[in-house]
Amino acid sequence: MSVNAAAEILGKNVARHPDRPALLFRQGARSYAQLELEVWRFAALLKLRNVVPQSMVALDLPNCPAFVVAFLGALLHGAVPVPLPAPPGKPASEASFPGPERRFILEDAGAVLLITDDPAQPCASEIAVLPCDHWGPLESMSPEAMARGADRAAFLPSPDDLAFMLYTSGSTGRPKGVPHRHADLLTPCATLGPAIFGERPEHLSGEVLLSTSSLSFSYGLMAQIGLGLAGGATVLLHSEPAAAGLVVETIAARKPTVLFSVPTTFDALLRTMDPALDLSSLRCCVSSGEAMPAGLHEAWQQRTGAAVIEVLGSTETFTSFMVTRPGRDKPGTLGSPTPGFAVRIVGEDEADVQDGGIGRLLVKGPGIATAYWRRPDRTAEVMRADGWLDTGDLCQGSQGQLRHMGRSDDRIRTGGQWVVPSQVEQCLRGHPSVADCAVVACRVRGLAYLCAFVIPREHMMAGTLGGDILRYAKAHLARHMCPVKVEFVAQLPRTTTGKLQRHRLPSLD
Amino acid sequence: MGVTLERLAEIFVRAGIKKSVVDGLQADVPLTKQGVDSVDYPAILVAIKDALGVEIGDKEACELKTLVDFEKRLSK
Repeated sequence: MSVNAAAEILGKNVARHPDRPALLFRQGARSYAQLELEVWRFAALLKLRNVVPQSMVALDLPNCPAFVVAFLGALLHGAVPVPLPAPPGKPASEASFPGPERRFILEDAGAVLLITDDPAQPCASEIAVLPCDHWGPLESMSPEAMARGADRAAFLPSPDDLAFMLYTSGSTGRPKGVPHRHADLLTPCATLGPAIFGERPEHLSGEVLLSTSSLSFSYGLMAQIGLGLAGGATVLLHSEPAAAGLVVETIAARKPTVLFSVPTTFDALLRTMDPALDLSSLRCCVSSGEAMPAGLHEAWQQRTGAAVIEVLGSTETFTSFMVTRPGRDKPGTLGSPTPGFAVRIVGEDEADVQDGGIGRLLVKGPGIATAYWRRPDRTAEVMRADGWLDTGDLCQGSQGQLRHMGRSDDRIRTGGQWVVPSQVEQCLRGHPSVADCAVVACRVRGLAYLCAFVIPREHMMAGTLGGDILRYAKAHLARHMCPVKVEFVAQLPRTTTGKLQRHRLPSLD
Repeated sequence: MGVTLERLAEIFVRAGIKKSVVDGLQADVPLTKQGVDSVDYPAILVAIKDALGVEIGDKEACELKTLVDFEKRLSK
């Protein structure tokens, strides 16, 4: 049966509790009824703009009501929203790294419209623009135009029609489009919701949900719309830079009951929070992106009294497909498959590894993307014909407990985001005192960060150069891409053909 | 032997924090409220280990919020 995900999410919530706050943002709010009206108006606006169903529309908005309105409005109309990644809190016109990447995404997706709060950005000169503020479109419509456009007939998708498309970084640095269908947006509420919040018709009824991960990322979108709005929660939107101080102020003022974040942010929140801050509102914290070190897990539970649940997912799966149970799963393990999902660990011979063996983690289940956008090569490698998705993660299974053991490609997961080392290396080689470099993962207090091995140009003072290189990185790269350590070396390990062998660099744990 | 706030400031600069930020740090205000972010913290811990040979444990690190906290810990 054809189901439009936006119509489903809004319709059931408006029917049950139209006046409940759906969104809280700064000093304002939108009830579910108000949100539904604004979403229908946005769909009507797209129709008046002659955006045909299945056209790609790029979303360049922070975590704000306008993103939710535009995203769900596009789904209602049958257009395909494509969120553009950007550093949180930084307008695209000031962003240091994503310019070429954003242009690539706009071209690769074939976007016909850019929905943005920053019409001054360079990309905006090359595409039709729909300017917004943080609450919605700036373009107003006459009542007659709204009546013509708002026939309240939601797009009815066929099984192959797309709903939304997210981009994920590839091992070569070129982002890949990951298209998802309407049913994929409804999967988290049907599967992960009961696993985390218990079996009840509205898992998140009465909850106030805060995510420090943006709507433009798979995890943030899953948390705030796939679970939050779909589950009937009040979603507290946080658009300011994910600086720990501002998040703590939000928690103190708005008393969320559920917090979605990543280990590095949980760590930063702990050291920022005043010891007297009342956190009793928090009853559940969900962590993703990397394993939470046992010390941090314990410290957070002691400080907040809230259960900490760890999940594992990806842009390709959208729904987190592994979930831990407090008290049952040891910190540092991945827990069990989310109901509806199955996992395997396979070796190079594609057979399941024996207990204790290390292999690649495969997953199968609802809501998983079936192809990359215009990348049949990568699709064939990752989205297998037998229905299993190769996550690229290396895992070890022992006595029913799975542990993450690294990646099968060179990508590094840090701060909840992927980093391609070659992109960081390319940047650092721009420093006048860096002759060559290699970037690898290192662990500090159990959390993954980046370390740069640098061959300095001659006659450089290594003592002060390390700090200079770290500052240079901060000025040129997104925060999560910045190394925390510089090691100076005389040479870097390379093959006879000159290929860099990062795995031969010392691991710094 | 203890570590002075001046020595700590040098270490913070080696950790990649701007000198202008370090020069303006108030000793008893949480560093995260003074421009030191979640990626600066691990860099500071690494720089402390490199400069002083001191490895700060996991649980201890969670409690080090101000310059004074670091000074006290490193003076133990």
